[in-house]
Amino acid sequence: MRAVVYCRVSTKEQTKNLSLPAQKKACIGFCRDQGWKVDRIFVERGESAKTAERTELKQLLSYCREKRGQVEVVVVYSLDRFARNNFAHYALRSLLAQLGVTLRSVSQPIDESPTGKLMEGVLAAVAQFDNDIRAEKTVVGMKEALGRGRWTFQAPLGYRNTRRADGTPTLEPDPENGPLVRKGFEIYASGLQSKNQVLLRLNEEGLRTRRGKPVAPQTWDRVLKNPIYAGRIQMDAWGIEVEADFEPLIEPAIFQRVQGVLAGGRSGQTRHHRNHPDFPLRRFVRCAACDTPLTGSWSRGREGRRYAYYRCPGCANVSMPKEALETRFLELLDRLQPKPEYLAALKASVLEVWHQRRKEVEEFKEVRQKRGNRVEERKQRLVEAFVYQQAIDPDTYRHEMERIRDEEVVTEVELSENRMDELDVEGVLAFAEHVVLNARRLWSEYDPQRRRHLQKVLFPKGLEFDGESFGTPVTCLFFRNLEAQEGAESQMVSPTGFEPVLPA
Amino acid sequence: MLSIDRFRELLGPDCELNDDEIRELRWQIHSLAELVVDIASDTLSTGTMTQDTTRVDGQAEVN
Repeated sequence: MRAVVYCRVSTKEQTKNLSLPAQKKACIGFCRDQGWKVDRIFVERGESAKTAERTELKQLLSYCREKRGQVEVVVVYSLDRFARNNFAHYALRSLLAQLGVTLRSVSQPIDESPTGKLMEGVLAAVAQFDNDIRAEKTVVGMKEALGRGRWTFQAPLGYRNTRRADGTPTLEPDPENGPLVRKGFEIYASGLQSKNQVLLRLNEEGLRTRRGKPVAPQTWDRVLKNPIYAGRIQMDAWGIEVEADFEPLIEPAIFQRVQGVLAGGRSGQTRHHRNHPDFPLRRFVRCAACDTPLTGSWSRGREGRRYAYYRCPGCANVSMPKEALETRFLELLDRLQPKPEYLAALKASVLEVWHQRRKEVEEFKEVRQKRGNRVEERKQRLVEAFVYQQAIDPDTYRHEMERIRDEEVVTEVELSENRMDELDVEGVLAFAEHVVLNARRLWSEYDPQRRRHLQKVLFPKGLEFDGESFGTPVTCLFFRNLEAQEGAESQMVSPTGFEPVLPA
Repeated sequence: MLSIDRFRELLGPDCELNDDEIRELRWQIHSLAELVVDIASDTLSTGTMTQDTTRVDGQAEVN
């Protein structure tokens, strides 16, 4: 009779205490005593004990399938090496039985006799009982560890599992994903970009899951809500909320701000009431005293006159007429000058965006053109059916023709709205070079949505205002802040140094 | 968006930015480029930019 041997240890620690060689030796000896030839030995090292999804076990099953009729018995040291719960045990036994293979244990008297079957059932149940006890002990241990602020699970995105000098498990920021997750929190906290926009950017910059894939929106949503990033472990199901014993990725204030943005629904870009067109700096400028984003609103004076004000809703340290704050903001924009060394990169990026848009427009037009052709065909068939074949009545004809005309009009409107082909790329490049020289004018002339977009590009971290002036801003790397770069004017391009080269 | 290699090439060999700063700059310039193309699509096709030629310093621009 030909046999295969299956040995397993359930944790990596056990691989060190030689239980595998001991199992192997005992199984081979057992087969020899039975007069069975050992065909192959399958050794499972350090995998989970709980499920039957084991690499070597899979190999064993496919081997038995392949050698169907030749291999007749699987030998294990004890039944709990084979499966740790009743379901897995009988599922595997049934599978082996279909292949004409029986199971034998070196240390337990099981066979196909009624007593052997009874014994097998009892032993499988004992194995499950043992596993349940272990699971319970594990849960208790996990709760205890969590209660002390220790994270015992797989590391969340942005962290990685590690051990302290004393061997206790802990987390540390993942050198690759950690900075990106932190950056994502900071950008989203500004309220200027949606969750998906932030995620798109992070994925583009290399944020990856454990399996090396870009992070999904659902995962990113969970990340933003998880207080572990601010150093708090919260497990509602177990009633645990404690301070983590490892380094937080972000400041608690940033986490709070993110929760505020999340609670407000979608990002500042699309929330109408938060992006009031009269107050483009609303939520973009924060109070220097308490870090709360400013609000903007109209109020009515005693004589019924309306006044527009930006205010700090947190500490009331800032209360400034809209015009005054925006004038100061424009003065700030006056101090921004593009760095000439990056103009080539800007032009290339404009070209890239331009070609991409043009491609999208072409694709869009092609689809619409095809739809237009289909509508035209339907129209001809309708006329034919009505006039030549007299297959439809006048009411049906009229009704169908009206629907077709609606579609024709919509298609034409959509096609006419794509005007990119009317623009030449040189004109766009010249325009780009011109507009970046004058951020004030760019901001002043365009609609509120684009103002907000521009603000976000120019000052990626928003601005602080102390009631009198703006704090030194973090400026887009493309621009130089003249005030912050005093004494370096000689290297700069004059504000009017580039004459616009617009198409005549 | 431009590839990081292409972007680095455009910045030239004397660029002193580190990798993180280059990625940041690439993203910012890309955002700026999107804004510029958006505005250009609206403005140049309707001619409003070429008709409105008052610069902030009060001088008239020559088109």
